[in-house]
Amino acid sequence: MLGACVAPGPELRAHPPDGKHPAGWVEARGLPAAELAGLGTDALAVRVDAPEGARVPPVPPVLGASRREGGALVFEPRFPFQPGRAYRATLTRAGGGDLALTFSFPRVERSSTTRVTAVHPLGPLLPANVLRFYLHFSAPMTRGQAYRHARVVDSTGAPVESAFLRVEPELWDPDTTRLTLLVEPGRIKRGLGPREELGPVFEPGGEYAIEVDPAWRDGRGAPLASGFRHGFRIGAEDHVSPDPHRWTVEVPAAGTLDPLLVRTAEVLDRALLERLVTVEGAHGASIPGLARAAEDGRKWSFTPDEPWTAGSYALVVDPVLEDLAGNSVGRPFEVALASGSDATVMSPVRVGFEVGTGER
Amino acid sequence: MLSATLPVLLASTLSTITAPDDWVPGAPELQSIGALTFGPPGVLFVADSQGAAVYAIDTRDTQAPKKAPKLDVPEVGEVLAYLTGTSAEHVRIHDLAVNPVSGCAYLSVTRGGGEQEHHVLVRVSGSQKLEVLDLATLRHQRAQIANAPEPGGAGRRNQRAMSITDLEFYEDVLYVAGLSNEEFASKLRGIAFPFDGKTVETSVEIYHASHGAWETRSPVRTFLPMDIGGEPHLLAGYTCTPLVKFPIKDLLADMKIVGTTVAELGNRNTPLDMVAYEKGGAPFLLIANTSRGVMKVDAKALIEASGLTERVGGPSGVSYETIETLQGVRQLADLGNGRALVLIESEGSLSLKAIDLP
Repeated sequence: MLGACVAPGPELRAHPPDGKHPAGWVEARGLPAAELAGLGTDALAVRVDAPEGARVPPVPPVLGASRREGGALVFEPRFPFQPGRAYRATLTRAGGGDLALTFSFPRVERSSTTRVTAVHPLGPLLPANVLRFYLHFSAPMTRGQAYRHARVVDSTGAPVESAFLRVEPELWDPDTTRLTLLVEPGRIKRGLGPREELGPVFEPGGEYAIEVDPAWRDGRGAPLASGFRHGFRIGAEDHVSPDPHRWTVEVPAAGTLDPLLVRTAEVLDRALLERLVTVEGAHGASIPGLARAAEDGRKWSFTPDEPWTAGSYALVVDPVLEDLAGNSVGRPFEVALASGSDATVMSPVRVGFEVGTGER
Repeated sequence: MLSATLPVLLASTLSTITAPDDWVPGAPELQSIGALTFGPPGVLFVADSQGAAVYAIDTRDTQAPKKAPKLDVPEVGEVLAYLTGTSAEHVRIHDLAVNPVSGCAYLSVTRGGGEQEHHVLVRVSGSQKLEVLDLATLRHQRAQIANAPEPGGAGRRNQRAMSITDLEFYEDVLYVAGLSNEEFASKLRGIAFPFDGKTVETSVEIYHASHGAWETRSPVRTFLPMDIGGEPHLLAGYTCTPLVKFPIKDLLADMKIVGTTVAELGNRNTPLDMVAYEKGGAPFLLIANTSRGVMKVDAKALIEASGLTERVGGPSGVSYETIETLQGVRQLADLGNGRALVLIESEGSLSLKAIDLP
């Protein structure tokens, strides 16, 4: 640079994302107008700055588009420049004097704030053929990492191999804050090779834990604030369908907005319990209100939008509702063919109750 | 939701599709990308589990090439990382499909994670010709995958979702296999194409017997239509290893199907992908597995098999041959003329490789 009155020579500059260039941009500026007009849009290219010995030589250019903007040639990548990753931009000029710039944008270290907030079922005692666990997180997570960061360990802390079914894509809820982990069904089902050879995942009488390691990234790319451990004991296998007729129903009084309270005879899948039990009035009309399943999966409550009126009602239980071992109201998880009967129930199970006049 | 007078299985799965009547120009709003399969000429079906939808994308790739393209791409994960300006650990390749008309390969790919996820379709038309499709320049149709009804109460959100594990197109129907993140079910849905927005989606629950003793259900991981002996069948590979067959006509007629378990593919193993092909006039099936390598199965024996009745410890049923030369195969696609394209994982990196079918 000779002095302030001399125009700067041609140079390359890289810029992080801004309102006009959401993926970031690279510009070739200070070019003579005639040269700029004559440059092809492929003259400016950006490549990942691959390390020595990269497995793919030559490295192809990053996808994107170049255009003239003001007095410069501007390249915008199709996907955002990744913070922390090094790139090399090159401008090929007809008269020689090619330009090159190696650049990277600083990685923003995000603070770890996301945690595992709960695991269902709660335990402490679970059936040996427990079928699924739900992990709840305080914020959205990154998909595609679950089976690296969640595992089952036994009482000695040793990992239980092949405990979870690896489902691709992973079983997230729409918000990516709840993950479903299925216990390897081949090791639950009787008569299948995996169980015959490896045995079941959980042995009755054993103590186990689900462990989550903190390296799991949340949706912003930050690791979890801490690891997580959820211990439980294992009891006998459960092969019996839940029976809503064995539930106890605490009926509120007419004229109140008091909740209807239902205690199930066994622990049920909490997510399904909350979704699959409804209340019906006379003539089968659905009663609007708010249903809640308790954390322990044993209680269900329903608060109507309008006060109860005296009369006949029914709890309507979808036969899809399952207990912790995948036995649904409509059908056990496994049915012995030798029994010769097909006991599958496909219609809702109704449990009637009466709301009395005036007193409880 | 239909009235409760219908069987609940039907009520919880039947729904009308909310897709538009015709092609929609522009890019679909993909919330995720996964299973792929080709349908009518140039039409690629794409699963979006997170968006609870399947899309038909008109790729306009309908020209038969003069010469079949060479599709070997060593280190394809690395190449895709370079093209999209990232590193290979931020590139996930979900599925592979080959356009039977053009011979080009398509990959469903996620670049980045969390808030920085981008879902892209990549067309491979040559070893050095990888193109991230600009879906904004194409047109699509969308079919919503029916979900359970919203739970009662204002402001409640439905946490139920379905992960789509495989798609297959057979005689104007797109079959969708998947599993719910709540109830344990084995649902196979059929959606007529074009997605006209009025078509009723059918859905059945498929049961299978394990060694004649227990009847059970399980999610389908991969499946394949096979027309053998004049009878169209679906052959389904389950997450818990059994290979189960059932006639397609049963699927259309019944709410509950009991498939025939014709093989078990061994423990610590899940079938990943299958292709059917003919060699020397005989039908075969090639199955890629998570841990038991690639298996070549005599498809005729499979269809003739009457089902497993004995309890056994290891792989059983219809016999198969393990192809020792094929290690780490994650995805398979038929290229025709006795060739297949495979996505192979080796030492943590992925490559596309064209092979002669064994």
